[in-house]
Formats: sequence, C-alpha cells, structure tokens
Amino acid sequence: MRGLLQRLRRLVFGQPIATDAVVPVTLRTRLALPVFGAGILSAVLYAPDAVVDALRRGSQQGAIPFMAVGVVLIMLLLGFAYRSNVHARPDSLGDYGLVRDVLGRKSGVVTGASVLVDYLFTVAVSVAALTQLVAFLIPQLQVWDVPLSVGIVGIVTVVALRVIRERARIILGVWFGFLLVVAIMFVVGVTSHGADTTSPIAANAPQTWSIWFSYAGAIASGAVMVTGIEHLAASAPNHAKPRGIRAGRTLIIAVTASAMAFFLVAILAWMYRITGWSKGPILLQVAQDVFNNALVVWIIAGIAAALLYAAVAAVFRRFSNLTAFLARDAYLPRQLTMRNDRAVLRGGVLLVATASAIVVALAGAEVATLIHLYVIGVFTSIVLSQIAMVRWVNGKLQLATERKARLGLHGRRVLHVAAAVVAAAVWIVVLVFNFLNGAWIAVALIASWCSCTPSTGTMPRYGPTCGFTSTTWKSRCRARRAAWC
Amino acid sequence: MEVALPSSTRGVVLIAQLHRPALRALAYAKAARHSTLEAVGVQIEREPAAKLQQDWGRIDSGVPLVLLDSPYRDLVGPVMEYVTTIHRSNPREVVVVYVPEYIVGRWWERFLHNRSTTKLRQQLLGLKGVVVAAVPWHLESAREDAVTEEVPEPHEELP
Repeated sequence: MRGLLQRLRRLVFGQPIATDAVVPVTLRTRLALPVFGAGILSAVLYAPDAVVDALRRGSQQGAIPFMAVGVVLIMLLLGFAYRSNVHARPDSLGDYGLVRDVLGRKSGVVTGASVLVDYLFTVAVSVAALTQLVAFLIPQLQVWDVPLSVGIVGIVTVVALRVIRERARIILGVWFGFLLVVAIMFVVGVTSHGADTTSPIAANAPQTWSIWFSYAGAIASGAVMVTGIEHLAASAPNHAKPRGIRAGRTLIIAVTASAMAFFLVAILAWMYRITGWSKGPILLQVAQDVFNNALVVWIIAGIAAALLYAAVAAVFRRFSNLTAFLARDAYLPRQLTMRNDRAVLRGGVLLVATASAIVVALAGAEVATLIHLYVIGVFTSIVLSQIAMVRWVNGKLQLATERKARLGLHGRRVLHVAAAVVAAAVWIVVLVFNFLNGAWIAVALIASWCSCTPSTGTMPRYGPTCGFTSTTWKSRCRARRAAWC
Repeated sequence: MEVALPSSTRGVVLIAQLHRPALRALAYAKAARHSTLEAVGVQIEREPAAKLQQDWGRIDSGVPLVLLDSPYRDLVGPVMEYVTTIHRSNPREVVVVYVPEYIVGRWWERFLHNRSTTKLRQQLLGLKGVVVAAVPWHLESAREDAVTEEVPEPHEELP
C-alpha cells in the first residue's frame, strides 16, 4: 500500500529534485516581463469593470475617460516610485523587507500581512474573473461557477507543486499577444465606431458632492490595476546583472503597457456604451461589440484566460516565497520555510490554495464582491513602503556630498512623497467607499493576523549558549543591512 | 532466566542547531556513560550546517560530530540509513538515539513543534536494536515558574 501511494505520488508530482540541482532562474527582460508582469496586465480583465461599476452606482458612466486618465496617472506615478524602490533594494523581500528594515518590525508585520492578504485576493479575483470569462463563453456553466473556481485553484496547486516549468515562449506569446489584441481591438473599434451614429455617453460636469465622491470611488476602484507591482519590485534576483536596473526597466515597461491596455479598454467601453458587468467581463463585451464574430471573441477569451492563469501561478510562487521569509523571521510557523522533495515551498502553496479556495467559495465566485476587499491590502503596503523609502532617501542624503547625487536623491524624495500621498488618498477613499461592501473583511484579516503573530519576531528564545549569539536571523539581518545600505 | 545482554551501548545525539535543548541532550547522553558517543547533524541547507560545524568546534565538547548529507532535504531518511548502518556493523550493540522534544503549554503549539521529530521517532522505533530517548525541553508556556533564563557568563564551562 505504501509503495503504491509512493508511486502515485511520483507519478503526479514527479521525481525528487536535489538541492544542488536547483538552478536560480535568470531571465532576460523580454522573458521576465510576461513572467512577473502577468499579474499587473491581467488586472485589465477586472479593473475596467470596477471603474464602470463604481461610476454606475453614481450614474456617471460618461466620465469614464477622465477616470481612466486618472488611473493611468496613478499607475505611472507608482510605477516610477517602485522603480526607485527596486534600485534601492534589489532583493526578493520586496515591501516587507524594506519596511521591516527601515520603519521597524511592527510596521514590517503590518506590511507583510497586507501583502499576503493582497496576494490571497489576487488569486481569488483572478480565479473568479477566469470563471466569469468561461461562463460568458459557455452560459450553461454559470451554475457551476463555484466548483469551477475551486477546480481551477486545484489545478494551479497541482501544477505549482509539480513545478512544471512553463515554456517561457508560450507565456511571452500570451503576454505580448494580449497587448497586440487589445491594440487591434482599439483600432478596429474606433474606426468602426466612427461610422456609427450612437455617440458615447456625455459626461456630467461635477457639480454636486456625490458626483465628486463617485469620481473618487471610480479612480480608487481602478487603482486595482496597481496590484501586481510588488511582485515586479521583488523580481530583481531573477534578472541578469545589473539586477536592480534591469528589474526597474521591466517594472516600468510592464506598468506602462498595462496602463495603456487599461486605458484602451476603458475608452472602448465608454464608446460602446457598456454600462455594467452583469453580462460578463467588459473586455469580452467590448470584443463582442467590436468584432461581432464568435471565433474572434473565443480567441481573445483564450488569451485572456491564459494570462489570468499565468498571473495566478506567479502569485502562488510569490506567496510561498513571502511566507518563507516571514517564517524565517518567526512571524509564521517554521514549517513554511521547508522545501519538500520537489524543492517547492509546500506549506505556502497549500496555504494560499486553501485560503483562496475558501474565499472564492464564500464570495460565490463573484468578481464584484471580491474586488472591494482587494485594494486595501495593496495600498497599505504601498503607503508603508513609500514612507520607508522617504526615510531611506533621507538617510542617504545625510551621507551624500556630490551635488549631482544630492539632486538625484532630492528628486527621488519628491517622487516618493508624492507616491505616498496619492497612495494614502486612494487608501482612504477605498476604505470609505467600500467599507460596508467588504473592505472591513480585509482590514479585519490584516489586523487579526498582526495581533496573532508573536511580538518579538525572533526565533524561539532558548537563551544565548555560552556567550555566542546563535540566532541565525540576527547575523543574516546584519549582513543584509551591510549589503544594501 | 538467562538473558543475553547487549555487548555495549552507543549514544547518538541528534543535533539540528546548537541551542540549549541540544546541549541538554548532549549533557544527558554524556551522563549515561555510553561506550561510544557521537553527535549527528543532517545537512539540509549549507549555511546552517557550516554554522553547526563552526559552533561545534568552538564548544569543544569532546564528542565527534557526524554530518549526514541530505540532498533531497529529508530529515528522516539519512538518519535511518545511518542508524541501520551502525546496527549492521555492530549487531549486538544497542543504539540509543537522543532526540530533543519540546513540551508545549498551549494547545496550538502542539501543531507547531515536534512535527519532524515525531515522524523520526516512530520510524526509528521500528528499527531493531534502537532505543529512542526523548530529552524534554519545556517551552516558556509550559514552565510552571516563569523564571527568565539568566545570561550565562562568556567563559562559562559547559559539561
């Protein structure tokens, strides 16, 4: 019986991988873009929906272009700010490491908790969006959406545990193919709409406070586009040397491309008078209106589905990495640092799989429900990391003497202050707007997790042994601080 | 009744990192006056194993340290193989394996500690001629008198 189970395990998950055989993956920019940028580009499948929905609640769909411009500006600002983050800290700890080292352990715990909540909801929203996409193509599957979502999570889990190396070229094709498809759709949509007589909805001038509120809510909902940025900022070790600069380049290209794609889809939605997401994801509604051809819609849906799948798989890896870092700092059980015989951080993968499956099942695979919880986690970590960067730049300014270096640092400081202010504004707006709709769940999750973790954040204390400090994290922390300071 | 006694006993202390529970296990193993005593560490990652080697040299306990290589990051397999090898070369010896065990106070700590050592213990007990000795270490939550450990002197003598 034991041998049979063992053989079944080998069949499903593959042969064991020795530690020496694990080769760190180094990608060129054109391959790193789709692998790490899949999350941020896949947000195009649910961000325009969120914007349109927020405007619909105030009956302000005419203002979509202005909102889209606002979201694009926020994205570009945060993109450049995070590029500066990556240049400062080209390691894979990301926001957590930065805040922990600069602002202290308690802020580090809050950031770690919010990033984990963010990734959890990324998986949930992406899987729900994928399910809605499938249900749009095959309406008979709408009743099966929750089992379908859980099934998708299961498939991604098995693939993550088996560590199937996705062919980089396939993912490259998917990423750039999606951009190409959106561009083509925009060109075709504009030219064919020009002959059409129905004009897009006109915008109402913002006269009352409620209209300002719905604008703010729309921009804040559209800010869900920014959510994949932390993964890009932590991707420096996977780039060739010079790591920080190449990772910064990848980040800015991914952010710009996603912002453009979002803008094009939003404009098309405005032009074609798509008012909501009850009929399906806005991208596919637009595709149907523009092309009127079922085959083309299926192709677009196929590429979008592949992109969402890639985003989920990337988040699984990143989540398990981050839980391993937190567990090494003793904020989470130590078992999350252990790699199984396939060199996978099994604990983290299973954790994100079960948690997201539960979340999706509870939300009924509805993107609308999940998106309100989503933005809080991201922006908590963004605000904290930008504040940390301001403090970091201040520290550097105390040591820098050359005029050129000082000027550069001053510029960076302005950038980070602006990013922190904008991110804080978005955070407040999202909290106010979506609190009753579900943002309280995200806040409660982050708060409860922070209070549960041990406050010391060290390895269990056995006391120093004969006068030499044997805690591994202290020496590692010291070495790391010396490395990047 | 005539019972054939084992020819000698052999102590094997399982060491993961050099902390107080490990030192206590080493001390108890020394107190039992085995005919041969050695410490065994499993190399799962390179840095902790190198650190263990350095620390072992620094404390100079007089007990040899054996580092088992574990290319597939397994704890149980290499230890089982090593103990089986010992038994095969000395069939009439009893091998006593000292494994530190954490006594926990709160119910949820049970799921955090002793996970890998429980599996190891069960598998070791299945071997012939092996005795597993669990050396207890009470965690802070389980200590009746919450006395904080004093910082030992830098030149404190270890047993």
